[in-house]
Amino acid sequence: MNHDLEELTTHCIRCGFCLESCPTFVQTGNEMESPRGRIYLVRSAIGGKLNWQEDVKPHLDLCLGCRACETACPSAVQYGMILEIARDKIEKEKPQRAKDALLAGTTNPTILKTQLALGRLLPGKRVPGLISHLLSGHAAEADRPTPQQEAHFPFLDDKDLPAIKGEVYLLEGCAMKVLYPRVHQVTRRLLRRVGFVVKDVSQGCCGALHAHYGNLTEARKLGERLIKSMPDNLPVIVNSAGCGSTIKEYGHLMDGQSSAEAFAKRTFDVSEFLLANGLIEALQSAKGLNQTATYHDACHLAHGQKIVSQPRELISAIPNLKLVPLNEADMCCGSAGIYNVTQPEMARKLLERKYDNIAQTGASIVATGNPGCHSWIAQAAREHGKKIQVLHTLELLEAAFVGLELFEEKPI
Amino acid sequence: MILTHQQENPIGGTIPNMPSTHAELAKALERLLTPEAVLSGAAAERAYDCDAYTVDRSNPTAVVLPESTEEVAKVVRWCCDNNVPFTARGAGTGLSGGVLAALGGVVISTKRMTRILEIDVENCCLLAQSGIANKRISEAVKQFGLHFAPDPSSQTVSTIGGNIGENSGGPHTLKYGITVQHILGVTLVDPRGEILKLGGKLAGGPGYDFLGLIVGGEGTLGVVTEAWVKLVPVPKAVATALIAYSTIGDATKTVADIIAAGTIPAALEMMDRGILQAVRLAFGLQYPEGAEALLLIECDGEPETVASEMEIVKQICTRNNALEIRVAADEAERAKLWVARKKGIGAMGRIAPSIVTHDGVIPRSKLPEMLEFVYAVAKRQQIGVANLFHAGDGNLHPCFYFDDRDPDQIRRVIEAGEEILTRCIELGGSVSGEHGIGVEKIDLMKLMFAPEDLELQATSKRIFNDAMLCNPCKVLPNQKSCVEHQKRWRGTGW
Amino acid sequence: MVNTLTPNSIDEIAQIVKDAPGPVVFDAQSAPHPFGLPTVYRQSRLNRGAVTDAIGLENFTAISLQEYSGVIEHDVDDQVVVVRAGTTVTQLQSELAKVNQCLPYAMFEPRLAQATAHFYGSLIDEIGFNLPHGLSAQCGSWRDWVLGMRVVTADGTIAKCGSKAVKNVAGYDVQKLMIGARGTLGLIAEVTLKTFPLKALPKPEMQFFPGAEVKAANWIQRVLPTDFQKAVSAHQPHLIAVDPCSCVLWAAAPGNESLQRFSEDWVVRAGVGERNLEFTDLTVIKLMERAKQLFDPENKLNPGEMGIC
Repeated sequence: MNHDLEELTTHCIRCGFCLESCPTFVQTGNEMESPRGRIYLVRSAIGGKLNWQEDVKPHLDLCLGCRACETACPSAVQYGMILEIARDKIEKEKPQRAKDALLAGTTNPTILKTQLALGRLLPGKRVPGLISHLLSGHAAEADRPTPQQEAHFPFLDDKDLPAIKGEVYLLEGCAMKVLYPRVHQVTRRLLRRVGFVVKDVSQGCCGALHAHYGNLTEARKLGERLIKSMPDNLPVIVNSAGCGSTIKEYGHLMDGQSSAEAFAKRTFDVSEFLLANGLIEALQSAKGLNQTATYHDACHLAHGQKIVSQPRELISAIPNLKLVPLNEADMCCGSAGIYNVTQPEMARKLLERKYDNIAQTGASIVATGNPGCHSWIAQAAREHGKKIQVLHTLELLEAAFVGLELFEEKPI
Repeated sequence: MILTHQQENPIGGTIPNMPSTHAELAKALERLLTPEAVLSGAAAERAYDCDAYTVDRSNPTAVVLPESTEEVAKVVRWCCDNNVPFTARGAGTGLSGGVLAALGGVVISTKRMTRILEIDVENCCLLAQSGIANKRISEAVKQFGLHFAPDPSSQTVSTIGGNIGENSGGPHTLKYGITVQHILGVTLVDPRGEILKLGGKLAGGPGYDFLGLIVGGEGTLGVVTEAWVKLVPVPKAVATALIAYSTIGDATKTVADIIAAGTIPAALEMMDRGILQAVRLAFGLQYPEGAEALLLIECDGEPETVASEMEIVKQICTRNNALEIRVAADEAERAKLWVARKKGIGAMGRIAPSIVTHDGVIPRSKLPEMLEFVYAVAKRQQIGVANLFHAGDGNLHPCFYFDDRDPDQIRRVIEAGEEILTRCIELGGSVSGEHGIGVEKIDLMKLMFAPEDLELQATSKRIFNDAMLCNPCKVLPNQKSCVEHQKRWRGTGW
Repeated sequence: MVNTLTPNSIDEIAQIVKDAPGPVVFDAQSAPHPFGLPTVYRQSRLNRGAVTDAIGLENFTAISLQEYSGVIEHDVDDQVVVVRAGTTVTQLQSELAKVNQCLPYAMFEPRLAQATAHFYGSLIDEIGFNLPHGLSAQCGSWRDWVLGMRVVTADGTIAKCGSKAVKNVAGYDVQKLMIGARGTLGLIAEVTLKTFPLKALPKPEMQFFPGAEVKAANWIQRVLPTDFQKAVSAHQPHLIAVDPCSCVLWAAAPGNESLQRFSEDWVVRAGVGERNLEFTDLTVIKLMERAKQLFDPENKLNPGEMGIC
């Protein structure tokens, strides 16, 4: 990774083209909460003109890390990298225990499961106030996550399917595995529908959340472990945008290590992989869905991986389904990893904005490709009376084959 | 002292009851508005110390983010009562330092005033708060087949208030005119804090054209808080062509011939090799080997007119030895060409840490001569230069790229700019076609205008502003107490 | 009536203004503009008093620019012309036509032109009055064509505003203030104009009503597009012409009668004395008075002409 923070910041010539793409700037109108402002503050701190902790940290904390600014930036400023390195620097100067605990809890399946189980014993449905308070000084906005139940899908008969073309790895992830097992189920089914089977391996967390929140050392450690766990030269399929984005940047994270570069090159978001391998053709014989749906861009897909058209092309190919455009589709919903716990106020404002935009489309389904957005927008749908169903893009695609009934949320 | 870090009072003399520290001033403003609407402290002062013209920097004392005209008026009246300078700021994308807090004081940001207040589709006009981004206006009325025509390259972010302040142009001004032709009315908080409403849904009535003065007044005549803008139909058909030339001369000759032929394209833009490097890197814009200049020409209107105009354009291009003529096949390709053009200057960050974009205007026929001069100056001053500009209007944008960590480079960039703009004046042009004077070109005003001309301008300014508080030290040179201060902010760099 | 001076250089104009002991009025053709304010009203406004306070006409200095006309410089390739303000629109159009250029000012046959206040008079008058014309919606008006000016100020100084560049935002747009100011802020002596290719000139879409050629408009009104049809119906018997593009109506209102007004509209009139030009917005009146005070503290230039002191 290019660790010369100053060099990275000099690419910003302050044109300001990023401003309207930045959710926190649009919401606050405050230059310090904009990419240009943050880069300027970081550069000033490097030059000794500002103090990292007092002057810079609060503004980096409020950053979602959505990287919409990178899409808008004509000078290709690597904002995500600036953010991660600066956060790492601030964190090293003065570690935040509560954040570490939250990260560890979220990214370790065993701890997360235990916490969720224990959580059910506690009153209320929000994330425990203690953690939230320690991190943000505010009461929690985010509901405690509720794991999805696995669905009983009909058997996939080989005789109705194309011949097997090859094997792939599937990143099961940490939180994803616990919270969205059904998404993994449909990922396997859709991969099979285009001729691929998953080679199962024992694996761990990819380190994405750690990297985003300024713990690069831990992120590297986890990344190296993940690479080792998938040694064969097979495609690595990822169905969580945040993870995919980080893995694709392993090369940078691990200082250009060739194994990391190679691993990054064979990593694909599941939507790009399915599109390239003929799911559109397969969808032609699906029963389809008589529904109106819209699509929300997960930041780490649209901005982190520049995957914008692929999911839309796939959804548009579902027979009878009408895909309607979503205003500000690529603006962050406020979930942003653990942001809705660390910055509940801003996260809530962005969520309401997102929900309003979704409601305006008149769609009954909103699809998205990241677990964070999924649960956060679903919470808004619940709060607003749940007229809108939130599904992972892949769930919607599989529903085209097997019907929507299997994806109803059942009370636990 | 509250106003600057230099512990000096820019207004001169002692001011009774003036808050004595930055913190006190911020506290007073918080009481006036709400704590959430006031930014202060080292980070805020830094973040608001310049716009996209980064050569000159000056810290404000505090920043306020009002939400209404009334709140702006409150702040302005408070500033007047306390003898504190104030400067309105939109997105901060200006290229001449127009929102520099030259004497410190309060920066009034309009970025929480972004609402559209009324859309009158039948009468083709819209009322919006001044902090709204230009592009969002067009987006809001797209469903009615309308748009706001002025399209400065920064339109995705620059605010309507900022556009009014600078009287912004853009690529399509050749056919559709600049901002002043599209502003029907404004709500202005004048420099004493009074709310004035000028114009409305219908422009052009009898009386003195104050609106024509306010638009382009660079925020020195008060704070525009709301504006009635004219909406025009989105053209039915558009054709966009990218034409490559092996010499600058052929390209500029094409421009002259097109205009002489009586064709008024919607846009007639030129890019030289310097900028092509950056846009190829940034947007994958392809062009043939050996291309020294590209023209981007757009015709719009009724389908048959567009087709015939484009045919004429193509013939003229061919006659002037075009290497390649590529007409965008569809809307996606067209959009891509425009992204390359509009974000071209922004992409210069790929080449160097800092840029200064100039804005000289010359008679179109002098384009080849002027470009030669620009290259010669850059070479002599040993700084890089790229050119991308509105050829149809003779509005040049030489973009110097350099490293602002090196004071000597900053000095050379300033010198080169002055040389170029001086030449523009000699050729019968202007030092600014659309970016404004700000603090950047203030000394060049003396080259363009005689003292009596400047006096007449100062008289016009006094209709609205006869004190030193509202956006001081801009536009007119030799203002009291500014000359000394100029030394402090000029070429601050890093 | 006093003798009208006819200077033939800008220095001479400046000298006359400087030396004038009292008010200076300038009408290129030495006849008051039909839409201007009557002389008696000008007199009355001098002392901010009633008509009875008027000073005698013998104290007026009258300037006509009829001897100060013609093109100074025409850059054909760049489509920019510098012209003396005594030049008439007709003269200028015929000069420009020689190289297939023009001002995009609607040109009608004399009777229809006269009927709709297209006087094609000298630039000092045309720019000073800035009346609507038949191509305003399509091609703009003086505000869009004037790139620069040389004006003589109240103290007899010659000052330049704007430039020759077709696009210029350097400094304050003083020339815009002069347009439509009826000479009350400065005397426009020279004008730099943008010209247009003759073949790019659109046809006016003005509609003339029967008998138009024998009438003369004394009521020019611009209304919102949503009120245009209503206004046309309301004014029907008096209409001379309408322009559906700019929603301007030219009418001959009988006697001193006022025609119906519409929201946000504006009107300029002829033949009704001081009511030829009426401002009701106090903000505007205050600003105008302030501007006049600053530009012409002694109320010397075309006093009263804008209906303010």
